[in-house]
Amino acid sequence: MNRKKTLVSFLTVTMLLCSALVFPARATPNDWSKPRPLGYTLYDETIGNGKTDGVASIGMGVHIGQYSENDPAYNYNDHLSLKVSASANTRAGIQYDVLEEDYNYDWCEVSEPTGITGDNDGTWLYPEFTFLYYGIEYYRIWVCSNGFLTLNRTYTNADPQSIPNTDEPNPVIAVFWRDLHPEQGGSITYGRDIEFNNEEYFVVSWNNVPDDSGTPQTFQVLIQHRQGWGSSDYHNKIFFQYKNITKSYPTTVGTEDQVGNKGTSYDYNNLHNQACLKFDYLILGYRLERLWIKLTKSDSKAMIGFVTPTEEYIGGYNVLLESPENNKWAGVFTSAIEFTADVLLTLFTEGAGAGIAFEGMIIGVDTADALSAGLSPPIFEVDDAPTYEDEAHVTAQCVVENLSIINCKPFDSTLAATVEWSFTDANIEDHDLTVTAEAWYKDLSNEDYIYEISTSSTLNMYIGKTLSISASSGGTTNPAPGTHAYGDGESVTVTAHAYAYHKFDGWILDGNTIIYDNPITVTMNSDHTLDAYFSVSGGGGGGGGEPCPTLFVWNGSAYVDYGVIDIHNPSGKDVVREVPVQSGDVSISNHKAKFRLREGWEGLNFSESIIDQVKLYAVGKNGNRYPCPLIKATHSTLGNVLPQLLLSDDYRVQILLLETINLEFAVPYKNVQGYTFTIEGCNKWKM
Amino acid sequence: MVKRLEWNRKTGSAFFVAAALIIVLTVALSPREITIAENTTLDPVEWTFQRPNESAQFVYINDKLNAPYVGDGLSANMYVTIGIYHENDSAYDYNDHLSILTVINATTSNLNSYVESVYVVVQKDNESALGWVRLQLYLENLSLVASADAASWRTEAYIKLAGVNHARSIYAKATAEWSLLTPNTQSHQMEVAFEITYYNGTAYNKIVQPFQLNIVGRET
Repeated sequence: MNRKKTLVSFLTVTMLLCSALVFPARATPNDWSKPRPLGYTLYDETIGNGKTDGVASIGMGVHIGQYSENDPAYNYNDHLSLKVSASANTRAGIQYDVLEEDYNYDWCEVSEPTGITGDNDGTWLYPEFTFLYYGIEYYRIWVCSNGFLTLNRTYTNADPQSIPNTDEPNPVIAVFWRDLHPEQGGSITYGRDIEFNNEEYFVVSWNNVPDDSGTPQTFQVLIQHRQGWGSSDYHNKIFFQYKNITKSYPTTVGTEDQVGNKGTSYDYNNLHNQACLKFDYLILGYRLERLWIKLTKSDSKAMIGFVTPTEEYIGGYNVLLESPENNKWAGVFTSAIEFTADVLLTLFTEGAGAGIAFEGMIIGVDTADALSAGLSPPIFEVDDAPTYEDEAHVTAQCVVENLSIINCKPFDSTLAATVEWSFTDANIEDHDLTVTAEAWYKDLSNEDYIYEISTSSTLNMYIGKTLSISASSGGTTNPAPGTHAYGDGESVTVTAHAYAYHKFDGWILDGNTIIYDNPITVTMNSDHTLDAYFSVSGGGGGGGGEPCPTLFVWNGSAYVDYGVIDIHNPSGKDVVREVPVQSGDVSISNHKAKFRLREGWEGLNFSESIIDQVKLYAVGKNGNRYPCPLIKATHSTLGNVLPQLLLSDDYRVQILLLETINLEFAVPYKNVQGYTFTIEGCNKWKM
Repeated sequence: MVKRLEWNRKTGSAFFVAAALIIVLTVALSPREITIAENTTLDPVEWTFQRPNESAQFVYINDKLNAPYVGDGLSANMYVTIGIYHENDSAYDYNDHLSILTVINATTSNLNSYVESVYVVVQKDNESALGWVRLQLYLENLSLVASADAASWRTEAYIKLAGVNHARSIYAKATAEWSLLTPNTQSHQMEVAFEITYYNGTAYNKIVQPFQLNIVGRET
């Protein structure tokens, strides 16, 4: 069990989001359908869905966890654990516009030096108030010598970019983005002004700062000091003023959001001296009102119950804060982001304007810190669905935690809950579940209407075809003997493994067909039985009677005999053999697994194999192989033989009768479904 | 002055009547104070289990810890069943968790005796969490008074049940999920106690049956 909370989780999510911006987002499956298993099954799969309507966006992830068969604590019913996460935002509707391009010019003199005196230089300024920009609160501003402001990180780009543009810097307030040279003259100053527009403003001025041609440029940006949340003007107004500028070089003027997919650009050729541009967001704002996760079933042989305690497994966050509080629900918030980020990022790459909840906040250093310290839990209502009810739900009111703020709802909200979907029938019925994430939101300028946006995924567990596998003494199979359920028409590969001193004789399929192939592939177009038969060999098991290395796997308390690996080849040339190993037989301690090779067996007079390379692969749930590096190889006679066994080359190691080689592999993976041991070597002796 | 006196008299009467009403209602509606004549705590039933290897994924335990009791005026069967140990369940934020079933079945022996209340209380350490699976709660001749889960920072979870209609036989079954929020090397303890208060025809008695559950960490 590894629970790494808060900081590690945030870093993970940050990396996930960062990488998703670099690489195209992986499409998350919308729906899920599996045959009901006949035993414990770990799925560890995620599905999800999302939607945007141009104003609001909603994403939902459903993580499918463990299926428990016949749980005594659940009346011997089966149940499947699910983690459902929803994330909604009303960012898609935010857009700053140039509301007036000939606003009353009124130059503000500010004299506090910023300290910016170098080329491609910058500094952080703290205006002593937070301001709302594209739906995110900021408390500091990065001023770049090249005529722009950023809010998350430090940037000094000299070459102006077009707006909007997903290339960094994002977000950006480009008052006069041009390659400027304060090292050659002029000054960059800041201060407060309380006369402009009869309001208070934070002002940054570039005073006679030369551009590439040496021509001094004078301009300034003014950011409104908003008078609290009770005002009607939620987003801070921004003004650009131009006292003395030239148009001889490419220049970018405008505002851009945190992702760079949205912005307002103004053609600098239309600027003139004594010009004043006003940027504002006309709509008061769409804010989230309520968030729902609904689970709907149609049959009376299933139940849906939320897992408690609420504080551990049901939770959410509103993301618009001013007063931090203890962050005990951080794990829930993180899981909500983890499971929904993929969905929202898919929306982002495939449909411009979808918006990404929390993108700017998590990637931004400032806002990540703010998030980890102060998220507000919404107020919950939880309702289970017993067999006679169709719908279970958890819903949360979206509120900011500071109750003194009037009419203020968040732009972003998350909700996550762990659910047990249990079945009261004895593996004889199909079950369906529709999971819906729904957000209600309002336009603050017209609160008479509540708008709604929702997205759904469906889960289906159906009665599949069964494959009953048995094995006689002397061997085992992979999948292990027992009854397994598969989808209709699915191809299933079964491998027989003889124990030491035994050999595999063949299969009997459905009681009447003898098959000698190993492995065998069975097509599940109906229920099948498959019996594996083994017999005592003359002393070599899978080696056909010839001595070769026997593989042992450490399970935490003993070595499990996986039989002789037949690398016999009279020509003396190496052969490669693979042995599937069940995950339950492999003990992982400190991310390491132990294996052992032993040459021949007692009673023989002589045996010799030459081993060139051994490898181990972990097999994931999707069947993909992941290499587990060999980190230690100790020969019972020769000592360290790691160099000989690492590569497929001419550097090999001899192993004689009853000698052993102890092997250690690093296994840095979780949820491994099985392993494949590979050996390259030769035994050329015929007994 | 006279008028004022009159008002005072009326006011005084009103206050008196109101106070009397409050006292009567308080006495009538407040929970009865029960004097327990005999309080018996039975020997705890202990259960110990070593946490599995992380690669185990799950362990089907199905251990039933039985504690039958036959005493003065009451026979009871109380048991705790440990269901399945789930390793690293991703739907539980990658925590391990055990499903646990608590069952109590009790009958009083005298005709005018009855079960007054049943209290299932769980005390746990602060690196685990316990939540009741509300859908799995089943009651006979009992009504739910209150229940509480215990997040990691709380030590006590409980279910408080009241006997219905002075029934002599009661039955309660409750399922809980116990989440272990630590690596497999760490140990956990939890005590589940059944407290049955019953009237034996002459007095109220209480028996307490504890179950001590020990999860032992696995050495690396």
